[in-house]
Amino acid sequence: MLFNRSASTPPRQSKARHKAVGALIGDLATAFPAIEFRLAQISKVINAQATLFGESRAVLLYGGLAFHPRVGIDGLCFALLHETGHHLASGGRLPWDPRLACECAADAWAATTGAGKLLEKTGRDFDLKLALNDLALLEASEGSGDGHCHEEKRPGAEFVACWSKDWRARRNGILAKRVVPHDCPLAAIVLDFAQQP
Amino acid sequence: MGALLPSPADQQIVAKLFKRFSGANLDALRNLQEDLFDHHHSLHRVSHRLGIWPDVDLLRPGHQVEKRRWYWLLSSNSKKALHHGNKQDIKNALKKAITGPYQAVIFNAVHDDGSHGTRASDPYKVEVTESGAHAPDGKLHMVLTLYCFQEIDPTESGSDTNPSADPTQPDAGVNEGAIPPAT
Repeated sequence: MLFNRSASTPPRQSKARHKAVGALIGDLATAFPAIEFRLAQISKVINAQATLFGESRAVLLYGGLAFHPRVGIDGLCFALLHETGHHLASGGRLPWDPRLACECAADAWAATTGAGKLLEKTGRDFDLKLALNDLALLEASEGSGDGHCHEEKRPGAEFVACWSKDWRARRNGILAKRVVPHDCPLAAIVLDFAQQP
Repeated sequence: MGALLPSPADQQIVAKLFKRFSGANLDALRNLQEDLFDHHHSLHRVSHRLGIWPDVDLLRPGHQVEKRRWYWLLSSNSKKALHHGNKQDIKNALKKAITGPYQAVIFNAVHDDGSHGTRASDPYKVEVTESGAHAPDGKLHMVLTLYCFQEIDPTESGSDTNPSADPTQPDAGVNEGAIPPAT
């Protein structure tokens, strides 16, 4: 996280928000005990991250996202499930770390298997459409502005071309119960929600 | 590392590093008749010769802002950049990767709240581990993690996009010494 974006809007650091974030992390930890969930409270980075500390699989929720005023608990729930999906989903791998599932595999897992297991183990449900709308608004307000990543295209440049950088396509794909990696150069297989266990 | 909101510059750096330090490309570095990680070589010049920098420019397309900031991180004497010990740790790790039995090197950048020893005046720590039980296909991977107390200062505009040559052959000039990948 060297080039990440920090929050430009004041965080929502109310007691109620702290309590809600803590309860969410607690539920995720209950549903997925193999994963360590951490809140990096002091960080202003607007993101969440799946990583490994030695043999330990972890999900980090950064303060810039956890307390962002544009993102509700539903959005945070999807974010944490997406990161958990990096650890637990099968299918395509990240091109820079074969220990982790790729973005579309993590999204599909979060919206299906992950959400189902969270509900089963803790009773926590969330509104997927509301969650994705929150995250799209966040991308529009804090990101590049149009949901697209502008990469410098010049001879010799290497690209990490991933559908997940286009938020509109990503949100629509998840809501239509189909992620769209047909031309994804990163994923080894085509994922369809119907193929998910 | 996997992130909810893609950070294209971060992704490009770790993807390019992984590609360069895996498979046939790692073998090519092993066969190179040059010790890229001795004290004659600077990390930012080696990064330049290997073609490892972010191609993205989110805010000012065409200005190579992220590339400049990457080189600033690798070369600046600022206390907010990598210090000499960090750079030596990275060079030692990469030398070990080239001489050791590794299939690849996985690069990882993670925020640290201080629990791994970072602080505002010493914002980066390097940790080298092995993939162990999570090794893909049972093959041994080195994992090089950079713990970051903070991201690169957003106001930092960066340094030269074409760093001067190291005082060593065959790195004879600013526009020479490129090391093409094997694949």
